[in-house]
Amino acid sequence: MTVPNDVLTDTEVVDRVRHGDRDAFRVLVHRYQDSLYRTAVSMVQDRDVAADVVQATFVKAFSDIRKLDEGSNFGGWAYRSCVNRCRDFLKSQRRHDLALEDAPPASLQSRDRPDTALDRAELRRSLDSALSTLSDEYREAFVLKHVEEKSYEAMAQVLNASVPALKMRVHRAREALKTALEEVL
Amino acid sequence: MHPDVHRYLDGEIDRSALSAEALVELQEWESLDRMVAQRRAERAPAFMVNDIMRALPPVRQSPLQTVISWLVTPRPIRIAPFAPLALAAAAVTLVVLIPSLQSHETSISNAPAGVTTVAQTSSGSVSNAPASTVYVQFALIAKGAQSVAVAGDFNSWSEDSGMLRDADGDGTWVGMVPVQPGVHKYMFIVDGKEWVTDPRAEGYADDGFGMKNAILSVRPPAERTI
Repeated sequence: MTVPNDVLTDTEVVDRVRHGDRDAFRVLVHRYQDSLYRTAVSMVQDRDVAADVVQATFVKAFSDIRKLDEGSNFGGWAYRSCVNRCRDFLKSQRRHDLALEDAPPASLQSRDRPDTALDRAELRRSLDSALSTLSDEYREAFVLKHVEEKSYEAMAQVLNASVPALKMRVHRAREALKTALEEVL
Repeated sequence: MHPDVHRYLDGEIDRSALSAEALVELQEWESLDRMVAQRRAERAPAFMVNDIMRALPPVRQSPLQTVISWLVTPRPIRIAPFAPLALAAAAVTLVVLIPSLQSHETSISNAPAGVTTVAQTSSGSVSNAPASTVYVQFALIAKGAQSVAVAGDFNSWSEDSGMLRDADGDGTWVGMVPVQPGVHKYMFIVDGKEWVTDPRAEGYADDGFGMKNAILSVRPPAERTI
């Protein structure tokens, strides 16, 4: 099918959903599920939890779609919601860990699916482990910059922070990751 | 990390502006970035779309939308013996009262991507009339096929009204099909019997028979130069 100029914009799809076209929402899910999922996995370090976070983000977006201002950016709105859900999960996880200090911390390694390419899996685990050492603020800034490859201006809209502040977070995240991964680099 | 490496990674300076020392640090970063690239390639699980669509709450409609929906939803009706006469009288009245409903224009243009589009626009006092028709070009590579058709909700899933052609016999089947603006589902039918999902669709939805319908979203041609 070859009509890229005729594909509906997000605003047009949102408008259809608002007018009761439930199936149109599927288009928005297809457009944003991968990037939201990557962001959530990088932040919460657990694929099952990330899938739940993304699903909850979309369901909430569907329920609240009438609240989205005319002409607003659905993608940015969904990102903000997803990042906030990840933050909430991490906070609740910390409370849980404090209550069960002897329990092992949740890790991607323990719940991840088996990977046939051992090296790839090892590298992924190393990165996940290094990411988990970052503060939430540094990790989400790093993920949006280097995993989702967003501009600082787009990040500022999602994370509600200034561009200089985000640059500082990304710089510090790079330094911390480089130090944490020195042995495998 | 050297400050210039950060500036380079932030797109503020060119690679040629980096000193030898900064270049060494950049190479270390690039090793790290290869690990990050694995994460960039990650995709959501295939089941996620359907899980999300199933989890959506029912659509809440405003009272006005409920009335409009009731008015436009097709439903069977029974007609009394004299009803056709009354309907004919009503039809004549409508034609007299709203003559502009009969006025339509048809025009043809070439879209920027080389896709030929044909739009039918309504004129007169019917600004809320159904949106204009757009001709969408469908294409499927099916080497060795004898026929390919596209069937979707835009042509009532007809198996023979959306026939594609392979004019030069290279296995690329192409055809233009009229579609109303909106979100549609469709599949290809190869040799009149094999239902095939478009591998290049914008999105997918379960068809209820173990396969996936392709999703197509089409915008109105209002902004086009006609």
